[in-house]
Amino acid sequence: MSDLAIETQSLQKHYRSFHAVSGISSRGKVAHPSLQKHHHFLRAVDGLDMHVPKGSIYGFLGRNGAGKTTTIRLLAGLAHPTGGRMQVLGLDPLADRIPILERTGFVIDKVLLPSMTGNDLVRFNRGFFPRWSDALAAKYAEVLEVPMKQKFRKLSTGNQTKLCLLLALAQGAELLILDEPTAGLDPVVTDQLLRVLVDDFANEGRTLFLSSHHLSEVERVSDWVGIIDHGKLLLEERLDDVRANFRRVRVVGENLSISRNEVFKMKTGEGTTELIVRTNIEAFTARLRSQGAVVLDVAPMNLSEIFLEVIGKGEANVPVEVLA
Amino acid sequence: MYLWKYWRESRIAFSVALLVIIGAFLNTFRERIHSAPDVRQLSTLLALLLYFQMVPLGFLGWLMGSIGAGRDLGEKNGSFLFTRPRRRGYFVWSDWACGLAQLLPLVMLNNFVVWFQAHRLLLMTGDPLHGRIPLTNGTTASLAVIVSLSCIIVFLLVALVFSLTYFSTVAFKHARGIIFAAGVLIAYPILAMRIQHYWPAIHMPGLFLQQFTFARGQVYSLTDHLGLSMAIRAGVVLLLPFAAQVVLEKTDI
Repeated sequence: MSDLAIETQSLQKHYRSFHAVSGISSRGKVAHPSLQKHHHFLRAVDGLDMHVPKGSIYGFLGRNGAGKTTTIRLLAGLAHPTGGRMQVLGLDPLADRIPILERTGFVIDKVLLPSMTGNDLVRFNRGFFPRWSDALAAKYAEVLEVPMKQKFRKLSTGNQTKLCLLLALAQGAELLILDEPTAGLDPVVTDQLLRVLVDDFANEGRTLFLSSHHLSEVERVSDWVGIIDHGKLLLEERLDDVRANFRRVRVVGENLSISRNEVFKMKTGEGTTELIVRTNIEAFTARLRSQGAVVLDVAPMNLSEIFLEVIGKGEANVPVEVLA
Repeated sequence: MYLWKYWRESRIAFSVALLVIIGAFLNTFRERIHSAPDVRQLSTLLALLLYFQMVPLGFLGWLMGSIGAGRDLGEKNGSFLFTRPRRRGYFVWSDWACGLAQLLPLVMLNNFVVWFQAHRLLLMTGDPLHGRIPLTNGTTASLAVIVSLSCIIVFLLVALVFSLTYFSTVAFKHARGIIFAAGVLIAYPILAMRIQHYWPAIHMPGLFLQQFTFARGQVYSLTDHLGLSMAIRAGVVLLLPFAAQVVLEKTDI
């Protein structure tokens, strides 16, 4: 039996789109007879290899449009993959959708049935899930302070999100897959939600898969991180290992022999070289010194800095959360 | 639970329609008929009553066809609905069955009102043919049979409108599929008329199944092969939810 809650191998989702119509004037009229329609493939998920261990809290990080939501839709069986393989709780989301959905809670768009109240939605959901618990629904309604008698469309964004989460938690799932659960929420509600997720759900040995671009939240709760960009998983590691292994090193030295496997990025400035390394830092700096280099400083990196370096935006952007 | 959702969303339309029909019945019941009609004109009057009900009931079918999975997709709650552990076909067939289960009693009740009124008129004429109505081809037809046939025909029309609208909302992933369905329902008879105008040999089947044949503005006889027409119509009605299921299963949500 696999120790993975989610596993994908070379998972792909390409959308064919027609665009870049040449020979069209700014008013949208065809201005040139050589009208050409080019179709291209939008590679939303492009060879994703992901391994989410059972019992982990996995932070799935990526920029907007990186492919996070598409990946989740594929895992939920809502979208059909273009290629590759995937397994959720050891089952194929396309062939075994029903047993997966019975055991997995998904919160994707955070839009429920607008004319139903919280109580109606509890009633609606009850019949679908064999392990549904009314007691859990009542408990989370109280803990999260969700107005259960108000129609969904009249709830605030925070309460809508909390209600989505409440329904997912009350279904007694082994695996919870949440897409940007804290997007648009104030810090108090965010804190409430994360506490419930970590204390009540994940601490019972169940798996929590959480996509986000709010790095501080992921850093606070996750024990595994995966960073996706342009549909590819660029990094997947235990968060502790990420924190321990990534270092920013400034050195002075010439003709240094550095292994490409150890250095994530190298930037040469005036007399100094800045290296982003992902290795055992003591051994690495010892090797540098043995080549006559002077190591000016070795600085740890937080998740936000690592994220920016991994997706290749470390130079262009100042990590906001570092400034904060 | 899913049936309950459909019922919640359609109950206002159903209740209003039910109240209107009950109102019509009470009005018919209270109405006094002062003079007996000519028994020979009864069949034409009955045909008018039977055909007239197709418009409001068809409208109701159109309205109720917009409720369900297609509308949910348009309201962006598809990812919630379709992560409930059921096959997508379950949602289609539940919507379809629940919609038709509400439309059927409305059609039956409406036809009962028509039968009631026709029966009263027949009694006023002295009922010389013992529950049968004379047609202009010299034959007679039982009032109960005519109304029963009408019930099936109207239901098939309403089911067709409902199923087409439902299919459209699923195919468009939006409630605006009802506009498309309305367009088809309006354009088809016009197209059929144009085709018949230019190519008289081609007879496209009408939206309304013709229960009677007419001659000089009067009911001449019952239509031949009505059973076959109804069977084909039922097949078309059944094909539409199948098509909606196929579309939904192939759709990325």
